[in-house]
Amino acid sequence: MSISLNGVTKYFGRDLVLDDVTDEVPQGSLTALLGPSGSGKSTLLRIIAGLEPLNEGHIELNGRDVTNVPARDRHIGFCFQDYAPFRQLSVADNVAYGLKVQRMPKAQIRQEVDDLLHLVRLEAFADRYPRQLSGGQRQRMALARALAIKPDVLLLDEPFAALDAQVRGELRGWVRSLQRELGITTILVTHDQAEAMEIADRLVILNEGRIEQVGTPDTMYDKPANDFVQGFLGPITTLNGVAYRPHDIELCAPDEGVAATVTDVIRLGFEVRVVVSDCNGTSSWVQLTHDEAQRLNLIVGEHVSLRVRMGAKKNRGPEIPEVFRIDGDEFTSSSDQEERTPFAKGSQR
Amino acid sequence: MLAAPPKETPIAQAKSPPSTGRQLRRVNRRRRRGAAKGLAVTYLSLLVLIPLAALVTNAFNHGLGSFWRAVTQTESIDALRLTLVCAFIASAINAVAGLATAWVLVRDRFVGQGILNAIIDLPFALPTVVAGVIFYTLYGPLSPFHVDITGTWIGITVAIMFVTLPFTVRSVQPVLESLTFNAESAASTLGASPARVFRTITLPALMPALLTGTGLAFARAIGEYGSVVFISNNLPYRSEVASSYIYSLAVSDQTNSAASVAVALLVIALALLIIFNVTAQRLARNRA
Repeated sequence: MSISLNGVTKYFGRDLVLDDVTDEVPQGSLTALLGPSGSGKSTLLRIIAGLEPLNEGHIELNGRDVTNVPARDRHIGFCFQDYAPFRQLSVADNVAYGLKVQRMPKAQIRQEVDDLLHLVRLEAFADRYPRQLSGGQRQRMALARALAIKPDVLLLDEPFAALDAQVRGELRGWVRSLQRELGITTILVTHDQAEAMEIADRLVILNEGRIEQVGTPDTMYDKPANDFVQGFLGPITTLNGVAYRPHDIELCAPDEGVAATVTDVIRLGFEVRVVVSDCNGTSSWVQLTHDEAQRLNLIVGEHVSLRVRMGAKKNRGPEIPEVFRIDGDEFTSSSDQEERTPFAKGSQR
Repeated sequence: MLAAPPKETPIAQAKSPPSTGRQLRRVNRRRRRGAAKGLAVTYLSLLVLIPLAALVTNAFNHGLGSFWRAVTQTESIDALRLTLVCAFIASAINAVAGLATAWVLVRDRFVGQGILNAIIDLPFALPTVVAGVIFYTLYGPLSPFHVDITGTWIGITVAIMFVTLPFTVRSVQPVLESLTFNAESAASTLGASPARVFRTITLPALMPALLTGTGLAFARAIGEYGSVVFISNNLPYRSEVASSYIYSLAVSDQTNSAASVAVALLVIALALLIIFNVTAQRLARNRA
C-alpha cells in the first residue's frame, strides 16, 4: 500500500515541528525517516498512524484520504520505541490482542498466534510475560503483535535504539528480510545514518521539520543535495575548501597534491584516521586502511601531500541536477526548499 | 515488655577483630542496620503494639465468653453491620469517583486544575468533627436545600465518602502520571475502541494502586467517628455506627465491652487490608 503525504504541517503550541512535508512512499518499499533528534521524524510517523492530529495537509493510503480517520480504523501496524508491551498480558495474549478486537474465533486466534510467534522465533516464550523477555525479544513480540492484524503499512519508531550493538545488528538484518518476504510497505524512524543506509531502500532526510532530500541510500551518499545531508550521511573533510569524504582523499608524493603536516594518527580497527593540517593551519582528516597506513608508516609531524583519489565521487556541486534518476525511479531533491522563508526552530520532538 | 535494644552482633565478637577496611565496613553496616531495626521495632511497639495489646487484654479480661457476648449483642451487631455496609458503599463510590478525579487531574488540562489538586487533601487536614458539623448544617433538619439525610445510612455514607476521598485519588494519581501513553496508543492501532483500551490496558495498570487506595479508605471508613457522629443521630439499632457505639459503651463504664467491639472491628479491618494488599500485589507482580 502506498502512502502519500501532502503538505503535512504540525505545530506543538507555537513551535512548527513539521513544515509542509510532502512525500510519496511507494508500495512495498522500506523507507527510513532519518534525521537528528528534534527533526520531527517521530511526530511524522505518529501522524501517519493517526496517533497525532495534524494542523494542515492530508494523508492518503492507496489514494484513500485518511487524514481524519482515527488510528484504530487505519489498519496500520505500529512498533513503539519502548515496544509498549501490555505488561499484564502474556506474550501470546499480547500478540492476540488485535485479533481479539476483531472477534476472530478462539481456535483461529490460537493458530494465528502460533504462526506469528514462530515467525518471530518466540514459540518457546508464549506463556512468559513481557518483563521476562530481553530487549530484543520484546522488540520481536511488538513486531508480531503489530503484524497480527495483517496491516497494510508497518511503522517502526526507532526500533533498534534500545538494543545493544550485537542484537541490533542481528535484528536489522532480520527485519530487512522479513519486510522483503512480506512485501509490506514499511517506514522506519531512526537517527542512525548507518542503520538507515543498511536497512532502507529509500531515505527521507528530515531536518527541523523539513524534508532535506529523498532518494536511495547510494544517491544520497554520493550526491547529497546540500551540506546538511552530506554531513549527516557520513563524515566529511575539506581539501582546499571543498568538502570530500575522508576515504576519497589519499596521501601522495610531494608536488602532486596539497602540502600538509600530520598532526595525529588514530587506529580504529581496520581503519586508520590521519589528522593533517595544511599550510593555513586548517585541520582535516584522511581515512586509510590499516595496510596503507602501515606501508606509509606515518609519524606525527611528518610532511605529506594530499590529493583526491582517482574515481572518487565528487563532492556536491552545481553539476548535480535538481531531479535525478536512479534505477528508473525519479526522486526529487529538495534543495529548492532552501529558498523558502527561514524555518522557525521546531520543539524537541 | 519493650523490645530489647539491638544486641551487639555476635559475629563481630566471635571473629578476630576486623583487619581489612572491607571487613570493617561490613561490620559497621551490620551495626547500622541493627540500629535501624531496633529503632523501628521500639517505635512500632510504643505506638501500635502496646496499645493494641492493652486493648486485646481488656477485651478478654473476663474471658472469651464475655468477649463473645459483648460482640454479639444485637446493638453491637447492628452497629458493626451498619458500619461495614456504609464503609463498603462509600469506598466503592470513592474508588470510581477517585479514579475519575485522578484521571482528570493527570490527563486533562483546565483552568483551576492546580487549585483542585490542592483541595483534594483538605479532608485530611480538616478536623473530622468540623466536616460533621458542615454536613449536618447542609443536609440536616435545617438544610438550605431541604435535604435531610440525618439518621440514615445515606448520611453516614456521604460523611465517610468525604473523609476518605483523598485515599483513592492520591494512590492512583502517581501511577497514572508514570504511565506512558504508548501501550494505550498501541492498543488503538490494533483496532481497540477508547472504552476497550481503558478496560483492557489502562484499568489493569491502575488496578493495584486503586485496590490499595480503596483498602486504605475502607479501613479508615470503618473507624470514622467525628464526621459521622452528628449526621447519624446515633439511634441504637438504626443509625449508630461502631465507633459511636464503642464510645457510648466506654462513657457508660463498660470498657471491657467497648474493647471487645473495638477488637472485632480491628480484626475485620486487618483481614480486609490483608486481602486488598495481597490482591494488589498479585496484580502488580507482572508489571515490571
